[in-house]
Parts: sequence; structure tokens; C-alpha cells
Amino acid sequence: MPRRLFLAAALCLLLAGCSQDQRILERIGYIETAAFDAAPEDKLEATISMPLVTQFARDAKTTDELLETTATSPKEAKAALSLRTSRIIVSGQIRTFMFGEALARRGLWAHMDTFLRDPSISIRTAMVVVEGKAGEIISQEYPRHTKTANYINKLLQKEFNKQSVPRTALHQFTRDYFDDGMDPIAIMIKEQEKDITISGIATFQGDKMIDKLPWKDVYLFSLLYQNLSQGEFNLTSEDPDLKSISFRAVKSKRRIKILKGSSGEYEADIYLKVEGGVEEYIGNAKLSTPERTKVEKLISEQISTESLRVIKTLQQNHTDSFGMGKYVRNKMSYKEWKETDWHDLFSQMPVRVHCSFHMKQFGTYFD
Amino acid sequence: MDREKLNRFHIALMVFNTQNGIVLFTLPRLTARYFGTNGWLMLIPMFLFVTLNIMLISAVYRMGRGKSVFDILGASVPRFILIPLYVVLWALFSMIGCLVIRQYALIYQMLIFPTTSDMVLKMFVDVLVFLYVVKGIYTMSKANVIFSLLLLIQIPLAFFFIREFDLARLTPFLFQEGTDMIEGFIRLYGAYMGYELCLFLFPYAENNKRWLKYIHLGNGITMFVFWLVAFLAYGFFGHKTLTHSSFPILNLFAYLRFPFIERIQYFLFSLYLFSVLHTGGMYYWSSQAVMTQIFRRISWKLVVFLSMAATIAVGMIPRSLIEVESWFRYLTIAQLSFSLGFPLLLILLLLLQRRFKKHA
Amino acid sequence: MFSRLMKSILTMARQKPQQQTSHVSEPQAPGPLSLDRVLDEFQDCTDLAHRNYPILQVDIIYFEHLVDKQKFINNVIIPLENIRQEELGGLLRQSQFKLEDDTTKVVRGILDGNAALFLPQGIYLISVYGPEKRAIESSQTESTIVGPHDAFNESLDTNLSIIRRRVKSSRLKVKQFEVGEIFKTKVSLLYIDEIANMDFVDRMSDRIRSIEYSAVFDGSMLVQLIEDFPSTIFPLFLTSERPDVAVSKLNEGRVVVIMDQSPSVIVGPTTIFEFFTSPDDYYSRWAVGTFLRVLRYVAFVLTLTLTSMYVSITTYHYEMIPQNLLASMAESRSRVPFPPVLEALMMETTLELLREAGARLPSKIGQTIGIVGGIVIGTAAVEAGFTSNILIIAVAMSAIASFVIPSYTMSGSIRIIRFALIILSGMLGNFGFMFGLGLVIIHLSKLTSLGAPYTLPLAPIKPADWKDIFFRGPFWMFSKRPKQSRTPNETTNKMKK
Repeated sequence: MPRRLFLAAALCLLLAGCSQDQRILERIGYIETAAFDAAPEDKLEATISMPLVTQFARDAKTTDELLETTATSPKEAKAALSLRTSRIIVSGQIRTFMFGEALARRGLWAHMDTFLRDPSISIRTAMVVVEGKAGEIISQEYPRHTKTANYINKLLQKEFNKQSVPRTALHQFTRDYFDDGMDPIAIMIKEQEKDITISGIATFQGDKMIDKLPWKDVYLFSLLYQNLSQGEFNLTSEDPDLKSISFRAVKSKRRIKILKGSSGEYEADIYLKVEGGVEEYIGNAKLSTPERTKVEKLISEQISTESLRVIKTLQQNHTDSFGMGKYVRNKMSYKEWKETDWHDLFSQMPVRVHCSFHMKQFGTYFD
Repeated sequence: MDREKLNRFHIALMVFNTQNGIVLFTLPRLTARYFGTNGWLMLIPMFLFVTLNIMLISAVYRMGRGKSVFDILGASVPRFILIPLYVVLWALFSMIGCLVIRQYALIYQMLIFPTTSDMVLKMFVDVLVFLYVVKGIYTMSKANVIFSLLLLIQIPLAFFFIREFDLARLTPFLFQEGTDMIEGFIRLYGAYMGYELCLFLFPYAENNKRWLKYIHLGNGITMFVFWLVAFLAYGFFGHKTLTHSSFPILNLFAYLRFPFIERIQYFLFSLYLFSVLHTGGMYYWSSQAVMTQIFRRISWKLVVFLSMAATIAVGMIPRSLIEVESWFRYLTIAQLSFSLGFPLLLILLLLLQRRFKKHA
Repeated sequence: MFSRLMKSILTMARQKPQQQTSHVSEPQAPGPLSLDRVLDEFQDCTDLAHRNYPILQVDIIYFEHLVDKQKFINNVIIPLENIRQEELGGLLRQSQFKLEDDTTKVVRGILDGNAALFLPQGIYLISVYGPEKRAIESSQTESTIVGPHDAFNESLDTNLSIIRRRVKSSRLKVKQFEVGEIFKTKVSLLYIDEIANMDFVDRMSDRIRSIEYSAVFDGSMLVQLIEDFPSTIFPLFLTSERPDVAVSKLNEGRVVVIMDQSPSVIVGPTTIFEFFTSPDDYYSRWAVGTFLRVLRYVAFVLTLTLTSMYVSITTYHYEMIPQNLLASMAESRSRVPFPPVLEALMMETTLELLREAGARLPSKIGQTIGIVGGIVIGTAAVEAGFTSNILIIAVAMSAIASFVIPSYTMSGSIRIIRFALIILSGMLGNFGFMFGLGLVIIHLSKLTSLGAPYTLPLAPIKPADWKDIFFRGPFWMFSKRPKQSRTPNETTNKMKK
């Protein structure tokens, strides 16, 4: 027994000689953010940002190592860039992929192969489309904030976790890309003076970006896209009873019902059940009185009409970004589904939105 | 040393852990690729098929009154016929054992050790398998309890995926866009493979027939785990994505995130070493059980060592994962014919023996 | 198989030394029983006392330091001084005087603390044993906060008495053995009749009888001579200094072995999980007891994995580090010139050095060691760029966790495994770690204690016993004795008769 154990141990030690695959933490340069922009001739301009620890940084300040090159593919870019840094470039800690809008409109899939092939790249990596050039944003310093790459990551993670925007990670993007009943989306950011701001949602058809949903429509889109458990949003309107109202702890439930008409055309009913607590209210009604129901009704109507407007835009763009196709598909036979051009059908489908809003509480102010 | 009888529940876990293996990581893709949409449903007919096969094996046990399969064979088939049969079985089991380990090593190499030779990784597993097998079946069964519990403890992780799970993504279509159903069945059978080794456990099991139910229990646990994983993957990724993902379960785990650790697939995949260890171990143990029937005088531990040494050489031939998989395909077909044919042969022999006894 | 092998080796070894040592304790030649013969045996034993009463023709031989002075004066000196020769026969008929006619037994009697009276009509032994002994104190190594505080000491009689005081039943049986050719240490085997499985009693008796080692000094040494697998790093029998532990194990149907001159008693058969239990669990409310026990298993996992996980992750699996930790980890690693394995091994070794140094020194200096170690390691090593502070936390955590495990021997075994796991993780990352873990599990499954599986309620799986292994269930759940003891009386409160 001891002899056998000893033999095993000796064997292990002998075999251990070959370990070139070590990735010792301080010897690697882990990319935190990778940005890609369109370059002429179908090439792409890659910019990567790798954090430097204080020990190696100049002036004892933590900064990012920024490298930039033009290449045909992300991995070719990596090979070119690795010649310029003292560390081994690894992709296992990439948190954000940023794409310039021009590239996104040209189509992303051609460059995304390695994201799925390389096992070290996380499927949780955020997919972001930048208004303008992605490379410029991460090369920029924002003195009012933390390091740029870190700033963007934290900003996105916070918004994803707050559910104020749908989570658009690599996983969701590829999943929706492959799913024929849904089109992918990606969150959009842009530079705004001295800050970076989330500016909306890029809607794709296939891998090509078609349009941008502006920021003010994002919360409506979120309601259509998923069940919220902790979102928050503001509403403003012309009505004197509802000048402005904001909610927190918004819980919503979305139900999509597809009806097949007698002549074979499809109609969709979207039922939204939303509830939330009031944080701010500017208007004439008194929320502590039965007038509340009036306000609730106003809000419901507001949400219905506004989200219908969002859907109309999506229909015009032929982009089924919130996955209505999955529900239509469930009503069809395989043959019928394969024969229909879903994007066409979607653009002509009559859609109704029914919203019922419920005010859970109205805060500590009693009127 | 092996006088002690195997606990019933241990047999169930042994069946489960022999069936369960690396195939779990590819299972959703296999079903998506070969059966198309809602391919996970195919797990159920396969399960029923395996259940029938287990009943066949139970019938052998019942008819032979717990006699070892070698005794049944030896009683009415001359030795010169048996020897080639035994050699074939030995080669089959050893090769499966070897390839299971090799496949694991290759995947591990792809994931983390791209430049380390996969043979090095395989040697490590081999050392472990050898130490495991030479402890005897009783100790194996005990160690396997711990291994199985370590694997089964991952089931609650499924709860983390509920949020991203969407039933609508399953689609209402049955088995559309599949490629080759027959091929799919062969691969799927490969996933369930391992229960047939119970044939060699007869002399070690309890003397009553109750333990036979526990083979079904083991098969049931496997079915549940397979179903859970495949179903989750279908709702999480969608059918089309699955067909493009080599190891969907690795991706599934990759999505999880904990405050102190991320990307636990690297850890959990390492944990599957224990599953591979048991699967490989059981096949080598069976090959040994067959081979010692020929060489009765050689110590069985030496037989294990020689089987492993012999298969290492052969196992070097397939150089890539895809080659290993295609080798597996042939071995699966061979194993399928074994697990159907062998019990039938035994039942035939038993019937003959019974009639012979009556006449005599 | 192994125990048989071990036994055969032991018996082989026994035959030789027996021939050499036999002349020491046995008389050279059978001769008449006489004072001279006995005195001859004790030649050059200057501590032997020899009193002579010429009138009575009585010689008294004894060891002054083995006898209780008061007892000796009351039972021997006073009666002899006030007696005439004719009355001597009457005195000697009293029960405390034992007639002995074998020289070996007389010699042995004197060594056991008897006074030997040599008279013309024969040799009488009177027991006046009463050497200096330590008082019953509380245990240093196994102290609890609530519960009885008495602990065993070095005297077998005291220890037996402590147990008898608790088990007032004639079913408590005590078997006597002697161990060691010269030392002749007394060893008692205790079990409760009808609760303990006689297989275990017999097996334990056989093993104790077949011990062939000249001198055994402590229970924990005895353990190593009677284990099923002498080469394993795990302790296969529980040792304890606490009588309440011993008694509770007796009640579970286990066998307890007490050795003279040793405060630690041996309990067998044992499962590995018993090393994670403490009497405190039973004296606290069951919820608290369960919490403590779960905490100990968490500590076990931590001490085994934490440092090796650090090594594995920083060497191979940088992907696994969460974003928030990444910066601080990379920061602290960046100053360290060594690969993580070396770094970790260095720190673990330093910690072991500190522990070992602290264990040998008197407690006051031990504190200094702690302070010096704490400052040197905690601050200076990090500032000098010798180690990363994350590692310090990992090492310190696993060290603290290792002290949570109640059994000192077990925590020693775990420390060795930890070192092995660190090296393996440094070589092959998680794969190496799992490889090591696999080795340990396979090895554990092989082990038996007195022939009963070492990993019992887990493998072979016996969920009924988990209530007292992974949790500490409320007492109404404890209606059955654990499966491992294979007791003929399963139900705790009613004896089958």
C-alpha cells in the first residue's frame, strides 16, 4: 500500500514537469473591455483595455493599458497586439464587448466566431453598441469617474441588475440570433460631454443593427421584453392629473396571446400587469383618495398607447426584438412556420396592448 | 475480502455513475443535432428501452438463481468457444474504459491545458482508476457513494437557471430539423450505457432479488439527471443554439456567478473526474472479470494492470476528440449488441440447461 | 487481508525477542522458594526496602515509593509489632494476606506495590499499593464549556473508578491485558455486555494480545499498534481524555480500551465523522449542537481547500476570479516574486513552524511567539513583497479552521493532506486538486476500524445514522444505536433479554 502510494506520487512529480499552460495572475494581461469598429475593406479596428496594477503603473496610479490595431478578425488583432505588451494577453476576464455603430450596422456575426469558440470567453460578457466609435470611448479618460473600462462595466452591471434595461450579454445575443422567433438586441451607450450614458437599445435583424430605440422608450420595451421584478420608471404626460410620476419596485408580468383569425391571419394581444410604488407624483389628483384609480387608469392607458407606439416602430423596422415570434410559432405547425416569413408577418400583424396598472403604495406623504 | 455483499443502494448509485459521464456535457447537443426540436423527449423512449434491457438482465438473474454468468456459460459451452468470446469482451470493455478517460482528458486539454499533452492528463486519471479498481468492487462501491453524492449535490444548481428559462423557447415542434435519427439513437444509447455491467455483479450482490429493482432506480436517477439537464438546456439556449454548442452544459455552468467565484464550469468539470473515474473503473473491472476467467492463475490486479497498459497503446491512436467520438460510435454499437445479445444467450443456455436437467 | 498480514508479521517478530527477554523476568532455574531467590532477583535494586523482625522470623520486602505509607503502617507494621509468634498464624489468616508460592508471582506482586512477608510457613503478599498520583483534573486538550470537567489521569484504577461511577451496571465488563515484555503495562478493555458486539471485543482482545513491542507509553501509541491499516495517515481509533466520551461510546456499543499510565483511552470501532464531534454538541441545545457540527464540517472543507484553491485559481484558472476581487488579487500578487505554489507552501510551512514552536514552549513564551509570528507574517511578509495578503488570509483561515476540528490527531492528518493538495493544485490546477481528492476518497473507502467501515454512515450509506453525524438531532431521535457498532440491542432504552 505505501509502496503503491509512493509510486503514484513519484509518477505525478515526474509528469508535472510539463506545465506551460500556467496563467499566473500577475503575468497575464487580462482584457477587461474589447472594442471593435468598422474599418475599410471589411476589416475591423480592435481596441483592448487591460488594467495595470499599481505596482507596474507609472506614477503609482492604476491605469489601463490600451492597445489598438486593425485586423481582419479579433484573434488576429490579439496576435498583433500581444507583440506590444509585456504580458500574456488572455480573454478570460473580458466583461464587455463594444461595437461601433457602423460595424453593428454592417453585421456582427462575421466577427463573433471566436466569442463562441474560445472556451475562456464568458457568455456573460455584455454586448454593447456605441453611438459613434467604440474605440474612441474606451481610449478616452473621464476624469470625473473611475477608469474608463471599469466605469463602463460597473455602469452596465448596475443597470442590468436594476432591470432598468434588459440584460444583453453574449448569451442572450447568440441565443436570440439563433432563435428564429426572436431578434437580438444590444444595449447602446454614447459619450455625453464628460460622461458616458446609456442611450437606448439597438435592435437587430439577424446580426445587423437596424434601428435604435431611444432611452425614453427603454422602460416600455423592458415591460414588453421581460417580467420585471424590481424595475423603476418615470412617466410624463400632458394630462393635468399626471404631469409626472415615478415608480420604484416595479413588478410586471407580460402575457402574449396570439389569436388566429378565421381567414388565417394572426393577431396579438399583449397583456401587461404592472404594479409599483410611487416615489414622486406631480399632478392634481390626490393619491390617498379614490382618485387614485383614476390615476392608475391614466397610467395604464399611457403605457398601452406608448408601448403600442414602440411596437409600431419595431414593426416598421421588421425587428421582432421582444420575441413575439416564439408565441406565434407556438400556434403554428412546423410546416406553416417554415413557410411564413416571420419578419414580414410581424410587420403587418395587428397588435393590441392591454395594460392594468396597480399602485401598491404612494409613499410617506399623505394628501 | 469481497465477501461482503454490495448494498442495494450502492448498486443503484454504481449504475447511475457508470451511465453518467462526460456524455452529460454533450447530451443536449446530441439530442438537438440528431433529433431536432424537443429532442430531449427522446430520452424517455431510450429510458424505456434500457428498462426493458435491464428486465432482461434481471430475468437472467432470476432464472439462474443468482449464479454468476461465467458459471452459466461454463456449464454448457465448451471452453475453446468461450475463450475467443471472453477475449472479445475483454477488448471491448477495456477499450470503452480507455476511451472514456481519453475523451475526458481531451476535453480537459481543450479547456485549460492546450499545450500539455493529453496523455499526461490521461495518465493521471489512469493512475487513479488503477488504484480505484484494485481496491476491489466492494471498496469501489463505497467510494462511489461519495463520488455520486458529490455529483448529485449539483442538482440544486438547476434553480439558478429558472430565471433565464423560457418555455416558449422549446417550440411546439416535435423532432423537426433533426439529422439522423438512427445515429442519434446510437449516440443516445451511448449515454445510457453502463447498466449492462450489472451482469457481472451477480456474485457480489445480495442473495435476494430485491437488489434488481435498484438497477432500475440507478437508471431512473440517470434518466432524471439527463432529463433535467437536457430540458434546462433546451429552455435556456433554444434548440438552434444547442446544435452549435459543443458542450452546452459547460456554457450553462458558465452563466452562473457567485460573489466569491465565477465560471464554475472549470471546477465542476474537474469534479466530473469522479464520474469518469467510476465509469472507466467499472469497465476495466468488468474486463478484468472476464479475463480472469481465461487466466485463472494470474492475480486479477495484474490483469487490470495489463489491460490498462494494453489499452493505453491502442488509445493513443485517435488523436482528436472527433476521432474518439467516432471510435465510440463503433464501440457503442458493439456494446449494444452485447447488452442485448448476451442476456439472451444466457437465457437460452439456462433454458437448455433446465430442459437437460429434466431429461436427465 | 491486511490485518491478517500485519498479524503474521507481528507474530514472526514476536518469536525472536521472546527468547532473549525471557530470562529477565523468569527465574534462571526452578529452585526452592526463598527469600534469597527473591532478593537475588532484585539485586542492585537499591530502592527496595527490606525489614527484618528476627523475633517473629519475618522478613518484609517492598518498594517504599509504591506503597501507601499509612496503609503500610496500619496493616503491616502495627499488627506485627504488637503480636507474639503464636498469634501470627491467626493474623495471616485475615483476608488481606494472600499466600503465594510462586517466585515469579511474588516478584510481580512486589512490583505491583505489595509488601511481601517472608515467613517460615510461606510467603504472604499484602496489597498496600498507593503511589503518588495526579489528581483528577480537567482536560487541557479536550476542554468543554459546559458538561463534566473531570478527565482521565495516568492511573488505571482512578480511570476505571471514574467510569464505574457513571455506569452502575454489572453489564460493564472489564478485561485485563498486559502489554510490553518488560514494562508489563496494564491494559483494560471495557465493554457493556449485550450492547457491544462480541466480534469487536474479541477482535480488540486479539489485537492487544498480539502486540509485540517492548514498551507502550500512551494510548495514542497503543492505537498505532492495533490499527487495521498501520500505514494510513488517518487515525483509525478515537482517543479521548474525557470520561463522558468514553461512557457515551460504551453506550453506543463500542469498545473502550484504557491503558495504565496514560490518560487517553481508545474507542473502537470509529468512523471518520466521530472525529468531528465534541461532547459540547450534546450539552448544547440540539439546534446549537447542529450548528456547531455543521460549522466543523465547513471548517474541514475550508482547511482542506482554501489554500489549494488559491493556488489553483491564481496559477491556472484566472477566469474564476470575480471582477470585484480580481483587481485586489492581481494587485497583491504583483509584488510577489514566486509562483503561487511556492508562495503558499512557504506560508503554510511558516505557520506550521509557528504552531510547532508554540506547542513546545510554556504558554507565556508561546504568546510571544504568536505576537512575533503574527507581526512578522501578517505585516512584514506582505510589505516586503514576500507573499500576497490574500494568501495570508487564506492560510490564516485554513489554520483557524484546522483548530476547530476537535481531534488533534485528525487535524494533523488533514494538514498533511492539505500540503499534498497544494502541491497537486500547483501542478495541475483544479484537475490536480480533484486528483488528490479522489486519492483521499478512494483511500478512505478502503479503511476499516476493527473491521467496520471507516466512512460508515456515508458509505455504506445508512441515512438513519446521519442524525448524529451530520447534525445533532434532538434526543428523541436517538432511539437507535449507530449501525457501525452492530449491536445486538439496537434500541437504546430497552434491553432485549
